[in-house]
Amino acid sequence: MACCVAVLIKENLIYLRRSAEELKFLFLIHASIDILDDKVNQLTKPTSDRDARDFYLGLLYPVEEYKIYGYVSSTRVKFILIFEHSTSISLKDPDIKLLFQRLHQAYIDCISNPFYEPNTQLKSKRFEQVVTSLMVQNDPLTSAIASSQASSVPSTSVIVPTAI
Amino acid sequence: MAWACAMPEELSIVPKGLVCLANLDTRHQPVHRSIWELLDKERPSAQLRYRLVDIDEQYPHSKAKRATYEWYVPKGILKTNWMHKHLHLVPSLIVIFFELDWNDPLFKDKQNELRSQIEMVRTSLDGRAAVISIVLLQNKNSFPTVDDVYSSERDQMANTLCNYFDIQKRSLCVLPVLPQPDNLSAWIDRLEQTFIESSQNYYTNEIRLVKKHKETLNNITHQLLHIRHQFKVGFFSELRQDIPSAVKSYRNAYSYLTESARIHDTNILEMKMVAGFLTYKICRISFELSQPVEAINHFRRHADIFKSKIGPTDLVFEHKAWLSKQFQTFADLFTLCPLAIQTQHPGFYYQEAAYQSMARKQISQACNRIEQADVDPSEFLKGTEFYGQRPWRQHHQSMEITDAQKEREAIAALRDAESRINHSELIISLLVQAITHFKKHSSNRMKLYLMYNLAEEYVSSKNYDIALNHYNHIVQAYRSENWWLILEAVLPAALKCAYLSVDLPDWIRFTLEILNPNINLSSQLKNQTQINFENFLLKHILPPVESTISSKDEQWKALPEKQAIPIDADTLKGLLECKVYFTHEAVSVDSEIILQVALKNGFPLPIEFSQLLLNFNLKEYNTLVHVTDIAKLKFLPGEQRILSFNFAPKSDHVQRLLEITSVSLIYGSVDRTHIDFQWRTSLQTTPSFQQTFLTPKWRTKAGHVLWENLPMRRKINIIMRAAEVQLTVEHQLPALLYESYPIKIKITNCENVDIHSATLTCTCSSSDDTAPTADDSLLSYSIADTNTETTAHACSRKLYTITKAAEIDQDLYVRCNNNRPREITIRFSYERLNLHCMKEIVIQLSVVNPFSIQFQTMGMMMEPLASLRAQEPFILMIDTRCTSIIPITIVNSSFKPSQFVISDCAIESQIDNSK
Repeated sequence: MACCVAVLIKENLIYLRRSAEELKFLFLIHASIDILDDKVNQLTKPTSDRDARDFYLGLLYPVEEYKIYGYVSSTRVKFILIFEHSTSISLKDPDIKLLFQRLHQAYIDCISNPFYEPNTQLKSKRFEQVVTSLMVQNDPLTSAIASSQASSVPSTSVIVPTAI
Repeated sequence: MAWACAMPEELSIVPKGLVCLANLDTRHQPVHRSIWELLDKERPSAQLRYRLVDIDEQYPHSKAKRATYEWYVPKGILKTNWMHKHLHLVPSLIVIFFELDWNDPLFKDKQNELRSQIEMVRTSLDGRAAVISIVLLQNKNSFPTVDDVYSSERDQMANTLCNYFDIQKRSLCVLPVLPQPDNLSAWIDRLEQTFIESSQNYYTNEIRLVKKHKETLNNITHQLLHIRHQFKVGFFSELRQDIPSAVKSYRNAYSYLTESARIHDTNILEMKMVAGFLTYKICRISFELSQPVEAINHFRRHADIFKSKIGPTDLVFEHKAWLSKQFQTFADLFTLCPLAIQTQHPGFYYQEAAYQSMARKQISQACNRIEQADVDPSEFLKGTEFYGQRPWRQHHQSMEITDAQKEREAIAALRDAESRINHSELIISLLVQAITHFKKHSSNRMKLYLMYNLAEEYVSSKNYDIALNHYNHIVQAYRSENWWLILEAVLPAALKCAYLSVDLPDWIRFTLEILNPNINLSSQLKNQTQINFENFLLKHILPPVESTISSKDEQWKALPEKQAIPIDADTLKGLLECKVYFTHEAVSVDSEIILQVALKNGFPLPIEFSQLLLNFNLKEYNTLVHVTDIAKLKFLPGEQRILSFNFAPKSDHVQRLLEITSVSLIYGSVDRTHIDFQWRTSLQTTPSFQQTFLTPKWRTKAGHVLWENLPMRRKINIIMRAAEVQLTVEHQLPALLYESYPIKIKITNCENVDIHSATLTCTCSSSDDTAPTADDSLLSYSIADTNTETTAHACSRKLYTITKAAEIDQDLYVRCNNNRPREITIRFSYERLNLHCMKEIVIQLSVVNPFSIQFQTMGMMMEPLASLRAQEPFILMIDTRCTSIIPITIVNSSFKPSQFVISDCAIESQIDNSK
């Protein structure tokens, strides 16, 4: 369903997978940093009435063929998912939030590896598996399994580090 | 493509009720002119549009209204002249101005003349229901005042006049403005109110007439009429300034069109055009009412519905053109609305418009031109009676095409016209507009994406120089954010563009960018790029031309033989790196400076530089570090090398800072075209925590220095030659107040010669920063003159000769008159080999009180007394306490009572010689 998954630290891409070798995805991801930065700035404002642990930033900006969603961790690691316009109509915000939380958890598992050097490319089989599951699952059976898995995730994903 | 994506001008005009003014002679009569100017002037809230007409103006004929639509098949939705007709030609009100006073001697004649004019207008209206209104211009003196006795009589006259002219009574107005008007604008305002009323009545009536047809229509043959009538109602509502019902009607028409109407290949263009018109009207009104969300939602739905309605496959470009125009007009409307935010602003719509146009351009490249036309293609492009219909089969409403041959010819003609259009111009203007909006909403990264598209478009329209400007900007931006993946895609195109515009510096810059090890292009391509680069600079072989682009050999040959191309090597990030390192932080003027320059090569193939030059802030050193030995400057891929330089500092640069300002590495022969790689900013050490992380042991091979671990130091202090003497002091703290505190200075000559005319200088300075008071300490080399009350915080002495290896002693006495802490600086200096040598010692001195004295008065019974009484004896008890930490001997003490105190016995010191 997702056709592109990206993880960024600041503006540096540390993970990218796309369904097709299209340049367009890169431009879209790069452009969405503008919006992500802006939204993160609004998050940190004391006046914002958002839940501090709500890292889901929603739809980033309108593009004709795609929908771009953003999510940011408390250490400001940015996650981006891109869906094709046609497949994403059935998707609701809570569904996408769950996908992000799974991705976030996989990221945490991945960087917990003591051999992972910070701020470098993510190279982990487990992480790849999660990304693959985000990108292919489409039939109701697997997505039902996935969502049952996903529902168990939030309880653990709350324990994300809060230091910046 | 005028036939498919044109937005008629009439559509964008804000409709206002049309009022025709007859009989106003603005050229010769000043009063008439000022009336006209007042009515015609630009006002934001104007509700009417005025037009000057002659009295015999002909108005468009009114068709006989159909009583029943039963057998009627409509020919189309909207006639191309309909909007124009109702905006500019068919009046809602005709005003006839006429000079007539009630007491005019020729009243009867004039009355008849006016009546004939009214008749004339009525005839030329030909059945149209426009209201005729009469304005009598009268002498202001004859105008009735409030207590005018004749007012009822005039009323009577006006009534008769109305009957005579066959007009309603409120259509007769009187304007007392002759011969000279005063307060004309107030009169005109009142006059206009009556005009608005009449005009709105007319349009209400028109709306009623249109709506009356609705019952007689059916949903099968009269679909087009449903849409047409709703559109007309909307338009008339706008004319009568009833905006809410106008939106409602337009929305009705739109939903009928999209939900109920049959859309097929033969009428799709007509449907799309009318849908576009309706969307334009709805969105414009929504924006004007400050409801941008409504407008955006409607437009989104509109775009979603029609995006898939492509129409005939041979005319896909027509669909793309129409879509592009839709986005563009929406963006134009959005621009007028101030409520735009970063994620929702006109830039996005201009961007999409540009993309649709790009798609159209791609499709149209398949369109063939007609070289030899059997039929005149312009026949298929002429105007039509209804919007969006095909000129060769107007009014055709069935789904089948009757004349297939003609259809083929027509499509060929349309494709021919399409192939002659310059799309790039359109795309570029859309992209530029989009970029301005993204810039305005501080979305610099989104802007880059558009600039990339723009650069590509400029290349395709052969504007290489402008494209190159954009490429430069893009490449720089993506490089600074380390987005190598995008650069991989952009750089080959940029390099091609630089070749085509024969821009050597840019060609070299992009070549270097491609050779950067972070760029993951095929090694074959990278090697070829480096070979081209070497060939051009060293062997003067022109870069090879790809088969797809035209050769520019001639221009490349014409480039000047010799030019230096400076390259800012700080930006190369990994292709070529340089670190400079002074081994010491400071160097004394008699020793050598050791400087290491480390270079690391990231070129995919071995490379050989011709020169290395360093520039310093002190120009005298510039020539000292200069390598021309090619063997030292030959690098294998990934090789790093440290070059070491030793040189002596100049003696007159003592106490100066030597700083490396730039490193330049030259590629190519200096007397021909060569490249000058220059490092400046990257030499400044930026201690970021990322650079200093520990290197795991398994990564460091024995004897191999990791590039990251190489230190950087580009500044060195040149200091004085260190004196080869031993300078020591002996003293025992603390110093007591008023004491002549002895400090023993020992100087040992360690030079291998005698020292002549050396100077020993001692200075004292307060080290208490908080209370900078005048220093009151006294320094001297002997105790003899300690009694002098003057202070001297410096003393100096010449020592004539100190023989080799000899040691001399010198005492220094310090007397401190208060107990603030202070510093004594002892400096020994002399000249040796024309160099100034110096040694310095700083002593921290803390001064304490030697003892404290307290006393208490007591009565004879040793009881403490708070006050003394005259004539009463008392005892004075004195308590002397030693506060210094070293033992002191009190030599003597004395007591000096005042004259009012008589001591009982001779006072003797009881503490003489006590310790």
